[in-house]
Amino acid sequence: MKHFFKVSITVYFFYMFTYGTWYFFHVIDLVNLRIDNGWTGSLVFLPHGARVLMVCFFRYYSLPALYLAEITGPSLLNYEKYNINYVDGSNIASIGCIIAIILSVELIKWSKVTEGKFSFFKPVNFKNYKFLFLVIVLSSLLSGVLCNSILTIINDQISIDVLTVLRFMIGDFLGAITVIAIMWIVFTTAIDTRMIISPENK
Amino acid sequence: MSIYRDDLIDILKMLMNIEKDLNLVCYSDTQKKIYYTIALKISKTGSCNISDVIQNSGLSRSTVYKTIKKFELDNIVKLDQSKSDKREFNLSFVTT
Repeated sequence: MKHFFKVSITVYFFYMFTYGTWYFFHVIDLVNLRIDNGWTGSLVFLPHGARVLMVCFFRYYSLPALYLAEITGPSLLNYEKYNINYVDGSNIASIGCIIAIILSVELIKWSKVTEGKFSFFKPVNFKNYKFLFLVIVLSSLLSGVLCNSILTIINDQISIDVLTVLRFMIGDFLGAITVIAIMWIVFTTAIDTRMIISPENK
Repeated sequence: MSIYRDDLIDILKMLMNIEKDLNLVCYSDTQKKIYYTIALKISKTGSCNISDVIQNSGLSRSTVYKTIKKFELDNIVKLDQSKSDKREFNLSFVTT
């Protein structure tokens, strides 16, 4: 239970941090000083990186906090614009994004990457970043399709074209890669400058 | 060790594996420590010699000598004989 709480707090804050960072760059186009340049921002959707990392490393303990962050994140940052009724079905579409990651992780397991028999409870060794990269690729593709399909089914007012699905896929992929690249730069610099101890020295 | 800490360490290991596989940094942790010791000493006092590195890093004389030799071969660090003590060598970074 203690582990679950620790994981939930970490997941919630990490997701909100990536969402907040993405939201800042997405709303304020710093280069051209244009406000609400929304669609270009979603080409690098940083929170997908948080979703993938948290599900891969904290496994299914992370799911409740991740979903809570998904549905509360937009409202907490800009309630007037993104209140709970912003787009009908967006809360359920978020489930699609999370399911996309779960499916990707299970696909990796099913492909016999892990030793022994297949099990939903068996963790994958994501210390090998190549598995993580596979999850990012698969989940970006699935997330784009699932999330938009759910939105279209639930919300009659929205019609989503193929380019929007493609933008979601590219945005999720680039966002996740960006988060991992930034974390890599930050943590390796912190290890090099002795701000944190290298895990290899433990 | 708690599962939570293990999971966080796994994230760090994953990030370090990227660095190793891409072969972006060809120096070990010990070598990096010596490099940062030299940099820190130079930034604080303006000069650094081999004895300072041995004293501040806490590493053995042979490790420090071997590493500095490697840095010299890689054209990162330059060795100049000290004017006050002929047995001592001052270290400085090569700037191109």
